[in-house]
Amino acid sequence: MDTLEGTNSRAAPDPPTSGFLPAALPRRARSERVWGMPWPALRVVLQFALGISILLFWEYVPKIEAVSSNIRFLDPFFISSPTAIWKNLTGLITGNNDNKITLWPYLWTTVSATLAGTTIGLVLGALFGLLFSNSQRLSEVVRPFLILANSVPRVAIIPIFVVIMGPTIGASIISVVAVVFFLAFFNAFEGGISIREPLLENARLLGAGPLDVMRVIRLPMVLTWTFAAVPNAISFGLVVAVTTELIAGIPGMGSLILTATANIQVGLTFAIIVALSIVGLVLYWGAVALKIRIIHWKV
Amino acid sequence: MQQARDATVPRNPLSGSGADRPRVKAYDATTSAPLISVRNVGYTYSDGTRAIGDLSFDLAAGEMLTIVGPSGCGKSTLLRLISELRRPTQGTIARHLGGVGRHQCSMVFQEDTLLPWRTVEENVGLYYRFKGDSGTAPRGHIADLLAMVKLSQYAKFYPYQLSGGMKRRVAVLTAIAPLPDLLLLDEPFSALDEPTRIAIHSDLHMLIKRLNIAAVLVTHDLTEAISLSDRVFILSRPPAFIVEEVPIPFGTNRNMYDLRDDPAFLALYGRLWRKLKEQIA
Repeated sequence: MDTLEGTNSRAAPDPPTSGFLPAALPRRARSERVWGMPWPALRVVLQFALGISILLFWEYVPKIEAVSSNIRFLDPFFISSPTAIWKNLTGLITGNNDNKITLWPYLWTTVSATLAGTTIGLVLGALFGLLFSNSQRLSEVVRPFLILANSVPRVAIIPIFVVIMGPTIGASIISVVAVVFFLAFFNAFEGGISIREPLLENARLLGAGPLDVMRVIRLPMVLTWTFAAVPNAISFGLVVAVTTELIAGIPGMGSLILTATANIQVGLTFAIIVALSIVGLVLYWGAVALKIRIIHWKV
Repeated sequence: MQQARDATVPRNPLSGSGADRPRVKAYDATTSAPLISVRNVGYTYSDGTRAIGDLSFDLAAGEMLTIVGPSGCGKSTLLRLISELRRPTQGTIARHLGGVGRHQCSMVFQEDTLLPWRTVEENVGLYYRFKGDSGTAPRGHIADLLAMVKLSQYAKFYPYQLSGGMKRRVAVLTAIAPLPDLLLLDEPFSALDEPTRIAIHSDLHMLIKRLNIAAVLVTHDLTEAISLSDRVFILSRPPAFIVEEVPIPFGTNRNMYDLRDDPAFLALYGRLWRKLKEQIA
């Protein structure tokens, strides 16, 4: 559950990351050599070796009878294997599987709900953030209600959206909006009120009226902080879209997972999770790229 | 088509000469009242702290006045009173600003006030963005200003791409671009290293003399005060009043680099320092 403080600290403008790792990781010089190799090259080799090791462990250790019979988490029935997952994944992509299902329509439903809900949530959040940060009195009046609304666990109200909208993509979109809105709103609001007094005084002396201040100073600041929240918003959006599908049985990636687990097809379940992870990563990188492009001066 | 476009773009007040030059005229102190008349001004903060006791002085058009004094004696507050961002709790400030084609008053703050999402030329032209109409500065005006301080090649840069000294120059140009009658400077160069500061002093002095802008500078730096000013006021501990008024006799054509070698400069520094020391010791 997002708290007011937690939301702000997590999504406040920060230097863009190169992935999920924080940008604050100490950087080594490109020319530095470790074990006789340039560090960037050695780092890739080590990452590759680690990845291969994990896959090999996953593939072969559960096949050892003594291990799988004693440790439930290493039983291939429950954790499948990389080769089985790959087979299921290619089968899902091509439609060549026992269930005769393809990934694409399900993926389309989930991704479109994520993108639509995230976009609507960001726009509404930025708009309300701008409005409330521009009027201290208005923000003082509504602030307790917003904090109360933000403290409601959104997963708990997804069934209400499903009852209202039915098990449709509309329910997914509204659920995503409900989460992303507050993330964007508190970020935008924080950006709007973070403008320092000398900046406003300077504008006033240069002849700016209240509307000029809102248009030329507060709006760009609010958009900056909103765009800083885009990578987190898209990640949250995907999680909520899949959760809504899981709860409501909406025909998306969530319901595909439900079907696979109901049929005890662990390999298929893992294949869907891998596909979702890849989609999540692509969406996140896309959002980071968008953020860097739009607020390049913040980098 | 060209003529139609020209008709909508304001003319550059820095270019042209004689009859061709548009009417841009600062307030004329020789024929009228002073630009600023401060009379018995005092200021008490809402918590009851009395920062400014009783200040009275005049400022003539084109004059550069510097105010130095101990911390907390209301120097920055005085600038906000003159700029009408705040009202004095006692006394009056009469302003005769806004000559033909001139803006009344602008200010360079100690803090960075550049908008990070706007380029250098967009920041310098901020006044024209607020002014409405087409939001366009007089043709060539911003380019001329940038050329004056050798920033032409940085016109399309963003503030984060500039050095500290360049950012300060842009902040000065932003305040000067509307051609104000009065420029207020609130410790604008305190964060700069000495060589950069001297270079900016040269630029600022050239700009305000060339554009006939009166200025009030607040600073802790006595060399800065002597370098730039026509007069220096030393304020007392709060509640502040003027303890010393020192005229600076270096005229309008000053070389900021040579000035520091002048024995008269060093003598003035000694005099100001002794007076200031009495207030801070």
